[in-house]
Amino acid sequence: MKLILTALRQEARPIIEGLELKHDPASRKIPVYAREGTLLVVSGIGKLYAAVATAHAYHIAGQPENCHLFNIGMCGGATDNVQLGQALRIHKIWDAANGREYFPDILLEMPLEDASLGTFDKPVKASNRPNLTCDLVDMEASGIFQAAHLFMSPLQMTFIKVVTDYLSFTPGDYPEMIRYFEESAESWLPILKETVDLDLMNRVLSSDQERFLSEVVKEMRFTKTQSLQLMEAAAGYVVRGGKDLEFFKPVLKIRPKHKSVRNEVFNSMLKDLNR
Amino acid sequence: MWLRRYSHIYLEEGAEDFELAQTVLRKLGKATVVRIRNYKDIFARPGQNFQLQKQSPKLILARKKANFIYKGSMASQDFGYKNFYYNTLQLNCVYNCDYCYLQGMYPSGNSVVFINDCDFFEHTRQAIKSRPFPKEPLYLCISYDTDLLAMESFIPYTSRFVEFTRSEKDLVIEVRTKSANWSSMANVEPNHRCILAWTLSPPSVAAKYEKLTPPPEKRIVTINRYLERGWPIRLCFDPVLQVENWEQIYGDFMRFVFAKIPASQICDVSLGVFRMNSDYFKRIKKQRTDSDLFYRPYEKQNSFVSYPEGQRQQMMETLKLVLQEFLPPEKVEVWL
Repeated sequence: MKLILTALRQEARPIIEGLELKHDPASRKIPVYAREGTLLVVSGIGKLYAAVATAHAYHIAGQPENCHLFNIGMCGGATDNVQLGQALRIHKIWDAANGREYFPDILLEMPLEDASLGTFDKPVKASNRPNLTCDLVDMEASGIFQAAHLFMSPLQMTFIKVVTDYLSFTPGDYPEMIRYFEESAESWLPILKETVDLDLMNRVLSSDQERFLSEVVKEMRFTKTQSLQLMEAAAGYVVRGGKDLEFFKPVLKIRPKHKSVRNEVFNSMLKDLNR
Repeated sequence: MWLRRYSHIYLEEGAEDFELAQTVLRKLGKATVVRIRNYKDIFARPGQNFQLQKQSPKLILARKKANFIYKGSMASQDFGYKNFYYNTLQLNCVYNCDYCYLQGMYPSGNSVVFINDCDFFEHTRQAIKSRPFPKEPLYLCISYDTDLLAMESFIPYTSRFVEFTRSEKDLVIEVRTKSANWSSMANVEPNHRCILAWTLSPPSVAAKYEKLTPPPEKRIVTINRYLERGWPIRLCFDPVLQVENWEQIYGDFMRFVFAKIPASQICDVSLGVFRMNSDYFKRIKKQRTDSDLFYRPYEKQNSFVSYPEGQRQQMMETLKLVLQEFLPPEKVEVWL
């Protein structure tokens, strides 16, 4: 599942339109937009709100090992090497308040250049630009990383930031900043659409096979230990090239009424799987 | 889909001051350089996935601050050397063999290169001076937790250690590898105290269990080039895996190897069955669902997982006899 976090509704808009997300009317304090396989949460400004929204998104999504998180938002350019309207992928997040550094894994090809990002608690003034050691500046990313890292691996996180200013702007510049952000969507929206979730579950057995074995365990009244041993042996059987578990079906006709019969059935199943 | 290998180099504070780091940065000029404070901030992050990171591994250049030399492990062969040590010039390997213990030992699929070679040399000198058996040389394995020769084209560690060994008369080094890299060492003068040790497995085993490695045939061609040049060569049939029909597969392969490589010119051969620290084994099994190696009946003995003792002995006895068709028994070192 894709989890997308933005700080502002304006940042969420091109995503909602591009991915055809629907507003969840039950969400009020933390707005949520969703469709099957995708969830977008608007956090509000600041890393604390961002961390809360991240945890909220995971709570809704359920299984973190199946998720990939994207944080997309506007940022300030701390160096002249980045262009207004340019979207960049973040390889390092520096939290200006505690000095810590966080590193999302950069494994997948994306048509974006890389940059480092500093997360600040307050807006950074242009006069501070010469002192900054990062390429970009925002107010959320480190909070999102810290919260997300409780649930998931750094390789499940992608941070994309769009340069909308050079740290010197007035409220009158907002429309132009939003325009930069929206126009950049063509460079990063396809990434949101196309990124495939990395398989972290390492499941050997298909859901059908797992369901079948659970049924066997229930019907045969296997103990918890026997159930675990059966799953392990079945996984080994499949990894070693075993095609399916259909050959168990005749065994299912037996309804053991005594422990010794059950154990006999169990041992015979294990023997078959370990052949 | 995956970014190219070493697309990013993480550079630890202060590491850039070392000449070896500059060499690596120059050779991998296209890589994006990310500055970090400590290599562990990247390498030891919680929640990493070794196998997925192996799809696009990154390089971390760092300075080793302590533990420049370790006493040899009981899972490794000492070849009769009483002063048996190893070091870790790099953490992790360019290859990704199914049976490799590194998957269970390291939290990350990325590679760390310690670039302060001068400190390693200095600590090795000290270890030579204080070795417990002064009448014997210090035997140092420099490529245990990595494959140095495979990365020699951009991290010239093997050639540097060979040069260092030339000046240290009481030092013998072993460089273990699966590489077919000849060009980066072609101009290095051989040294009789630098043993190049090749791990060899039958082609069918290598294709299935030694991912990313050059095929054994190519390794054999490379071994012959080094032999012709006068390098001391060791062959390691280790680990032997209990694949179906293993007697014939390994026996035929050994005969094939010695039809291509003159046995009389080989220093020695090591032979060992698959074994692994049981904690590493458990950790790897959780991550790897693509290898049947972790779903076989093993026996745990002294915190190591391996085949049951009787089978182990049978495997070693059978293959030792094959090796003795070509080599005297004293040249075959067996790990049981």
